[in-house]
Amino acid sequence: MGTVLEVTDYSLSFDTPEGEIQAVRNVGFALEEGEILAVVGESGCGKTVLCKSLLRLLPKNAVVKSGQVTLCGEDITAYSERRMRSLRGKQISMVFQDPMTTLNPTIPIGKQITEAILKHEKIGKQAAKAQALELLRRMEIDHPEERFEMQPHLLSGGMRQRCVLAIALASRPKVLVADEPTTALDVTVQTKILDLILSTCKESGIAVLFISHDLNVVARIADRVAVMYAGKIVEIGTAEEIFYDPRHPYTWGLLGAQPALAVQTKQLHSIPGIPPSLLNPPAGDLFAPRNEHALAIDYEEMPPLFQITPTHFAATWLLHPNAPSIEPPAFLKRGPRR
Amino acid sequence: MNEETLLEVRNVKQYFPISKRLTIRAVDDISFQIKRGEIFGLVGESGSGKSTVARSVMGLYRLTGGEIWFQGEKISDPKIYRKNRRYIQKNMQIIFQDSAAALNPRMTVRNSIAELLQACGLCPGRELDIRINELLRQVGLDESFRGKYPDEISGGQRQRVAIARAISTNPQLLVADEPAASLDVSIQAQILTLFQQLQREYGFAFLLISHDLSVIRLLSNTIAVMREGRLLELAETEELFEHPLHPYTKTLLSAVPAADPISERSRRVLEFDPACIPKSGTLQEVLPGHFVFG
Repeated sequence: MGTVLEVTDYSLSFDTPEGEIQAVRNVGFALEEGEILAVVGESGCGKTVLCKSLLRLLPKNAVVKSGQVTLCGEDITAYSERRMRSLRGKQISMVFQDPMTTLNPTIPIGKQITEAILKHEKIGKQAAKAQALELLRRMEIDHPEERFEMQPHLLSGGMRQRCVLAIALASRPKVLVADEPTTALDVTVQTKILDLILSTCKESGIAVLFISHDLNVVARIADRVAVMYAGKIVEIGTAEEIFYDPRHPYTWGLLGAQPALAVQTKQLHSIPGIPPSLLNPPAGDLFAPRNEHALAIDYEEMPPLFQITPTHFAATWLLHPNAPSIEPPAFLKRGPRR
Repeated sequence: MNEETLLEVRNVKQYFPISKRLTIRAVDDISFQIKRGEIFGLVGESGSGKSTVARSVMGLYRLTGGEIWFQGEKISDPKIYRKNRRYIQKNMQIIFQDSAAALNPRMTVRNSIAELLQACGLCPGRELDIRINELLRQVGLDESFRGKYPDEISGGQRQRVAIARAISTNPQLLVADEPAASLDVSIQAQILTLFQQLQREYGFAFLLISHDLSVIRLLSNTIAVMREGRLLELAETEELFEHPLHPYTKTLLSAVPAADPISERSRRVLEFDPACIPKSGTLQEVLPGHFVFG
C-alpha cells in the first residue's frame, strides 16, 4: 500500500479587506491507498477550505502560505490551473453536501455521468453509456436504464447523491474527497450511502478524505480520524484511538456534546463559548479560552503535536511531561462495546 | 379531557391542494395529547409532516379537519381563537429552526423581546427593561446584547434570543421546530442544555420536533413517531427505545448512528417495507400507554 496523498505543513489564508484570515494552519497528514480518513470539526474550522484547496477550487484571494501537497508522488502545490484540470476527476474527485447543486437540473443524469467518462477516456459514446449504466448499477440504483433518462428533480435525495458518487468515481480516481456527503439525507438513507462509499472505495482501493461535523457518522466508516479546530489538526489517530482514548480536551468536548452518548445521564456536556475568529488570531492555543483545563502556557505558545502511539498525535500541552496530569472526563470512560 | 391535559390534537388533518388532481396530505388524521409540564417529542424523517403539525398547533393554518383544544378551549375554531387571542399568544410560543428568519433584521435584540412583552401587556414601564435583562441572563447572554441586531451575533446566540423571547411571556406550551438542527454540535449541546434548565425552572409543556432521535430521546418524556402525515407509534421514551413495536420505528432506531466505531461497524439498518402500513387505521393502545398504528 502506497501513500496517495500527502499534505505537509500546509497553511492557507484568505486576504480580505479586513485582514488575513488564517483558515488552514500548519496541517499535515498522509493518506494511504484504500484508506478512509475522516476530518471532523465544527463549521468554520477550515475542513472544507482544506479540501477545496486540495483540488484548487478556492477563490483568488486564497493564498498558500506554506507547505506542500503531494498527489501520487507528484508535488502539485505549484501546478497551473491547466494541469490541475487534468487531475480533477481523473486522480482526485470531490463529492459535495448538496447533490442538487452539483447536478445540472436540466440534463438527464445518464448524460451527466457519460459526460464525465468521455472527458477522461478515449472511448465511443456507446461504450461510455454502457460504463455509465454499469456505474449506476454499482451504486445500487434500481432500474438503471429508466433512471438513465431522468432529470435530477425526479430522483430522491439519496438517489441523487448516488448519481453524484457515480460521476465522481467515473474515471476511477485515486482519491475521493467527500464533503459532508450525507448531511442533507435522512438517517435511514444516510447509512446506505455511507456503506456504499465504504464498499466501493475498499474494493477499488480509492483513498477517501471524508469531511463531517458529525462524529457519529464518522464512527462507521473511518479508519483514521483527524479533529480540526480553528484551522489546525488538534488530534489525529485511528478511529479506536480517537473514540476510546481521546487526549485533546476539544475532542473530549465534541464527544461529550453528542446526544447519543448522554442517554444514561441525560446530561450533555457542552463546550462553553464559541469558536474563535481566524482574523488575526492571538498567539497560543486558540482553544484555550474554551478549555477548562487550559494551562498558562496555552495563552502564550501554540502546543506542538505530541506523539502518543505511532499513529496517535494530539496538540495539547497536557501531554507535555511537565504538565499536571488531568484525567479525561468521567463520561468518556467506556470500554469498546462489543 | 382531564385536568392534566394542556393540549389536545384530535383527528387533525392538514391538506394542501397543489392542483385539481393533486392534494398533499401533509398531516392525515393525527391525535395526541400533551400534559402540563410534559416534554413531548415528535420525530420523523424529512417530509413526514412534523413541521406542519407545529404550525397547525400554533394556528398558522386553518385546519382541513379535526380539532385542537388548549386548556379546555377549542382554539381551532376561529371565533374562539379570536376571543382568546391574547391569552393564546401569551401561553403558546414557538421557536423555529432558522433564527435568522424568525427575528426581524431591523429590530435590536431588546426591541424584538420588548415587542412581545408589550403586545401581551406584560411588564409595563420601567419593569420592561429589568425583565429583558433578566431574560437575557437566563438564556446565557448579557446586557451587551441589547443593542445588537440579529446579523451581528452568531447563530447560537440568535437562537438564544429567540428562546428568550419565547419564554418571556411565561407560556404554558412551548413548541420548538428543530431548534438546534442548524447549529454546530458544541452549540447544539449548549442550546439543548438550556432547554433542560429552562423547562425545569419554568415548568412549561414542550412540543419538541426533530429528525434526530438522539436529541428527542435526551429531552422527551413521551415520543411520537411520524411518517407520511400519520403517527405510527406513541409511547414513553424508554418504552419506545427498549420495546419498539412498529416496524418503521424499529428501522428508524436501527439507523441512529453512535460515536462508537466497534458497534457502528457491525450495525445493520433494518429494511422497512412501506406496504406493511395499512391504508387506513388509527392508533391502537397495544400496551398501557403504548400506541401503535394499525
